[in-house]
Amino acid sequence: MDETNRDEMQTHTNDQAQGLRTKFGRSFRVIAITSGKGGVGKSNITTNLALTLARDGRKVLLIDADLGMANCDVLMGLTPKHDLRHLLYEDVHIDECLSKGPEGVDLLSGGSGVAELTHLESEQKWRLLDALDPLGERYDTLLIDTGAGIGTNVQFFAGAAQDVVVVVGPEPTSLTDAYSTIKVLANRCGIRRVLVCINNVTTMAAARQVFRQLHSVTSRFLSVVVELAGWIPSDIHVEKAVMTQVPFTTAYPMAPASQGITRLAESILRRPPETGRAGGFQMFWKTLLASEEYVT
Amino acid sequence: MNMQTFRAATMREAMNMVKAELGAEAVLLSTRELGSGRVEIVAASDPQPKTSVPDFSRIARNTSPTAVSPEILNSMLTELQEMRMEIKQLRSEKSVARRSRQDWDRMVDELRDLASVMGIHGAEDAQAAPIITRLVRGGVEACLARTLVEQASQNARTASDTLWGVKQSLEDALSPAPAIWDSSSRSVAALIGPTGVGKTTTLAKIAAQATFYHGKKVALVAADTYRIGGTEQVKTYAELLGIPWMVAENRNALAGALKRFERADLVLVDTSGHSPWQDSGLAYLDTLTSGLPVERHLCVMANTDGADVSRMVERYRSGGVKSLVVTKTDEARRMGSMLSSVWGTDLQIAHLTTGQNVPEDITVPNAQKLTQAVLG
Ligand SMILES: Nc1nc2c(ncn2[C@@H]2O[C@H](COP(=O)(O)OP(=O)(O)OP(=O)(O)O)[C@@H](O)[C@H]2O)c(=O)[nH]1
Ligand SMILES: Nc1ncnc2c1ncn2[C@@H]1O[C@H](COP(=O)(O)OP(=O)(O)OP(=O)(O)O)[C@@H](O)[C@H]1O
Ligand SMILES: [Mg+2]
Ligand SMILES: [Mg+2]
Repeated sequence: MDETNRDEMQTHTNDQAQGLRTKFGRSFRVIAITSGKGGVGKSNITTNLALTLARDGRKVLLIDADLGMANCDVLMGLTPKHDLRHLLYEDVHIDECLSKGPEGVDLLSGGSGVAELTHLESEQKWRLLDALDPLGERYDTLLIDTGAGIGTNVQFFAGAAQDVVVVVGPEPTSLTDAYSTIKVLANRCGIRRVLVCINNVTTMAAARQVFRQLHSVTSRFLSVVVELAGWIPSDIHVEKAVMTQVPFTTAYPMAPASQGITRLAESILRRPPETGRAGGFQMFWKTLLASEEYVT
Repeated sequence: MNMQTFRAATMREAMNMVKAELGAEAVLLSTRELGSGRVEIVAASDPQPKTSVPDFSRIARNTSPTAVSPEILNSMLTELQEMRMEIKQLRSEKSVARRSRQDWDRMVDELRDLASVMGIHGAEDAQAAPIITRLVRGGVEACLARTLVEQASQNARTASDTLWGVKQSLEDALSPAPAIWDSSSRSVAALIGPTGVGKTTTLAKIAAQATFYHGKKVALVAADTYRIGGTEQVKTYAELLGIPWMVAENRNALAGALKRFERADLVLVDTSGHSPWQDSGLAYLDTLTSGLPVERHLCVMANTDGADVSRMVERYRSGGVKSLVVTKTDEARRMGSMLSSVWGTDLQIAHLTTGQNVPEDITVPNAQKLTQAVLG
């Protein structure tokens, strides 16, 4: 190696020793919450998971990337003034696009700006990277509500996250849709492990039953590891909380659904992130913005 | 995915419907008896899974993991009896000759389906096959998988007993060796192994972890003077970490370096890679460390074929190996070869590396998780 090369190795900030240079990345977690079918409880789970992780001392940024139906703000009783679109096209400062939620959770609402994320011009890409880079100092956990389905938007975010949690309801259609989503994640986004959260069931046995069915199909037809990460009981407090716009883990911390969220949080954190997937916060954005292949 | 519910008077009929509609690949999701003496099967299949099902799974294809309730089992037994009678009758009939070939084939198919639901085609097979399949899918060599399952099924009464037994022996075999940065006394560790497996990168990761997380005084020795740029790699990392380093081109220089770094808690030696199948590479290592208190840690790549790994380990072991480091687990789709690397030896895995980033991408293995990874 000659001098110029070596100099390059030492000044370059994006080589394999980057973590070493910044003296150890904290353990960033980037978790995308998705589902095949709409209305299975993603937003409720994402929002309450964010709060639960924050109570546990993590610094959480929640990105509501559900296009048509962004509603994590409503669930937390927030009315964001700006969203991602303002950041990208109207030069609004990132800090003004973040809303402060309970427990120190910050919310970045996707608004309708996310629709164009897959087609960003390089100016917007740089603007986004510039704006988001300093956020890595502030947060160690990134939760994304991707919205439902197998659209490019879902693939876009799930493909860049370390962990993907697929929320599945007890209805047969939810099972079929969950399978389709997992299939896309496995075949198109290269995801090798998917975590599953069964929502809105009466008993653990019922949750296991749903999971077992899903697992028997995925293990027969797909090469992806599917793990049961948690289950949330059907709970009247969820609806009550939606009505009052106070997240249920805040309003009813001892409610069965809240306990389900706590178990889910523990179970996600206990697993190391899927190996080989983007590690840090910046990495997340870089992977995201580089993932041209999900653009159609 | 195509999911459908089938109702029929008999299980046989329902199974035929499943096959006709969803194909032989279909997975049974649930079976139950409806009050009216009819049965219901929910089944699913994916006509375009894209990823092909490994051929090996044919063994298990006929054993669905779906639990079959006792009532269903009973009703199927009755059906089986009926079919037997039918066959007997057919045999005795003079008209057998006139029966078309298709009729016989259909009968055989039906019998096979019935058997598949009940898992009765050889009680042992039915228990073992799915587990063997899982292991093989997880990258375990077929013969090793069979051995594991055979051993575990010796004291097992049910399939889940067997699975439990297999898990136990996997967890046992995959239990970790002490981390290289964990030694309480001074130690000198050389990373050895084939070319390009990640020895130098791993060395940097260990050095960083030991320095920052474990408060060790670490020094590096670059003994790879063969690879162009080999020593510069070590130098770069040493400078980044702010720790001392030296080049040692041969045994005497290495002895000198060890003397110079006498007060370091951990001295890490980067060696050059060689083909494990050539004696010269092994001889180089022996000469380099002869008479010196150097512990060797063998680096092997996770996505190496299981049979190759175990032979490789065998080769290197003759010169003494303290523990294993399995590298590039992020590039491996299956973890079964890890099992091959330790099976039948007293070696354990000290570290897994999970990517190119220094120092994040190194971990201490967790036997349960590895077992899970192997079993899928
Ligand atoms: N994906 C992945 N790549 C790795 C890992 N560890 C090392 N590498 C890469 O593997 C390549 C070889 O790594 P080295 O550390 O130079 O390997 P080596 O064993 O020292 O090679 P020689 O000294 O040439 O025998 C480099 O491109 C590393 O970045 C890992 O855990 N995962
Ligand atoms: N565990 C539960 N117990 C009771 N009701 C629940 C539960 N989970 C969700 N719900 C109900 O389902 C409704 C939909 O939930 P939510 O908005 O979180 O779903 P979603 O998956 O985000 O929907 P969309 O796909 O439209 O974004 C909630 O308003 C709530 O009333
Ligand atoms: Mg929603
Ligand atoms: Mg090297």
